[in-house]
Amino acid sequence: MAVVVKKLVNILPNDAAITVELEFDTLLLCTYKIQVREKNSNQVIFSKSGDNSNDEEDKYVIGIAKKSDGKTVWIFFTVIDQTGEGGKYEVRALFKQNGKLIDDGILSSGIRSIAPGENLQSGALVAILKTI
Amino acid sequence: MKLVKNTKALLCLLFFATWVNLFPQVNPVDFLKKAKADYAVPDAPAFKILQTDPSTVLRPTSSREVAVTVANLFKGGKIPDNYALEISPGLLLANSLDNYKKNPLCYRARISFATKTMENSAKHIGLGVRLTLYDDTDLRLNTNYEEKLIKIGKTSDDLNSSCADELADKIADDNFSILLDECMEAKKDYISKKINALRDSVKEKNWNAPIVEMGFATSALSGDSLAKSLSVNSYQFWFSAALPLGKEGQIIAGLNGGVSKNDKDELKKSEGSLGVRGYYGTNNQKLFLEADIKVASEMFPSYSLNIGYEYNVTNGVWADISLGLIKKDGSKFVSSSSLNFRFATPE
Repeated sequence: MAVVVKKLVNILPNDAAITVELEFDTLLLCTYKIQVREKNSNQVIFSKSGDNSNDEEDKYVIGIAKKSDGKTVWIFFTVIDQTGEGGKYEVRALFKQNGKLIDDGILSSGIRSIAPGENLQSGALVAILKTI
Repeated sequence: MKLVKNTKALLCLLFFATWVNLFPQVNPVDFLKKAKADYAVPDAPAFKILQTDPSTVLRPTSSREVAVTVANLFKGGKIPDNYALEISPGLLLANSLDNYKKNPLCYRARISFATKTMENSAKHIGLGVRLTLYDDTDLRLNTNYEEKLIKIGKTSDDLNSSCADELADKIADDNFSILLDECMEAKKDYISKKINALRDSVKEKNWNAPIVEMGFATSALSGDSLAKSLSVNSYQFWFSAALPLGKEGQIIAGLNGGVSKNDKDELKKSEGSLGVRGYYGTNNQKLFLEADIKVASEMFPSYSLNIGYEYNVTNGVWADISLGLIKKDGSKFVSSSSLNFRFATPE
């Protein structure tokens, strides 16, 4: 079963940048694709891919707060069991405005396990940005 | 067809075993036990030194659990009854793949602790460390394999993001999560097969990659349940190294030794062994040649030389046949032979 987490993230309508930081708590290999889509549309206005194989920060500026109302942020991730022995993982997306964590701005897969032989698990963290 | 092939192989093995039985023999069980014990570093040296096989082993999975477990261990200065614990020091570091790559020794290390209550209520405790000093079979450190897995992962993410194209207009619906889950799950099987095939090929290629491991353990005895009465009564170490011998061969060396208390309560009773084994063949069948020497205080050294053949009869069933020479207790070399079947988890 895939991991699906959907959440409304409330932002203040100002000129501050909205950033998303991804964190991976695991020894398993994770890849991801982050997309920002326009309000009520399929149009992708931002797209990046990455993985947890190095110590580079997985941090992205996805837009200006006051222009982000209704936009959706989709983070698709794939957790791969390299060894075949299984393992635990947690993927988190932290939404920040002007460098500060937004209240309720954390989307987490929760601590999950891949069983030996399962090979992979996929998931999506979906945030709907809403100005307040 | 496979059955006929396997039956032929079994008949050959039985014939071989019958033939070698024409020669003077030693107990093959003792012989093999001795010959094979020298190659492996035990998973938990503390359990090995106490010669205990605990049914329940505590394995804390977070740094907090480690702290709580260790804090409770000797509460009130008392030794717990029949206790078994195994800790990875890597848990004290952040749980990240990048950290693992920087400190593989720490993540792969295992600290084991065990207690055993004797019949006379005395307490026996063991403390051990197991280290994998070098491991080219470690798939987490194989950068080429990792790059290929990342490509597969990105394919998976691309396929899953196509679900967003299909479902973006349904994001406010109550059943959105179910629809997205179904869409992504439909693509999982294809990716899973790719991962399986890649991992199997890397494992096949790396079966004889270099690996060096060692272990150390000490045991102590206490006449009562108090930790302050403990007195060390043995030390033991294990060392094992495996190197490739071309593409289809491997050479493995094992060294172990120890010192324990003698009848006079002195730490002077020592023993050690060294074994070298060479393999040549494929995953399904291998020839092996091994030599082994064992020394112990107040005993004649024993030597053995053994040649054999290992065959994968069918998935999960292995047969091995061996011929050897052994010399012990100061006597002359005598021959030995054995035919064994081993059962492993089918792949």
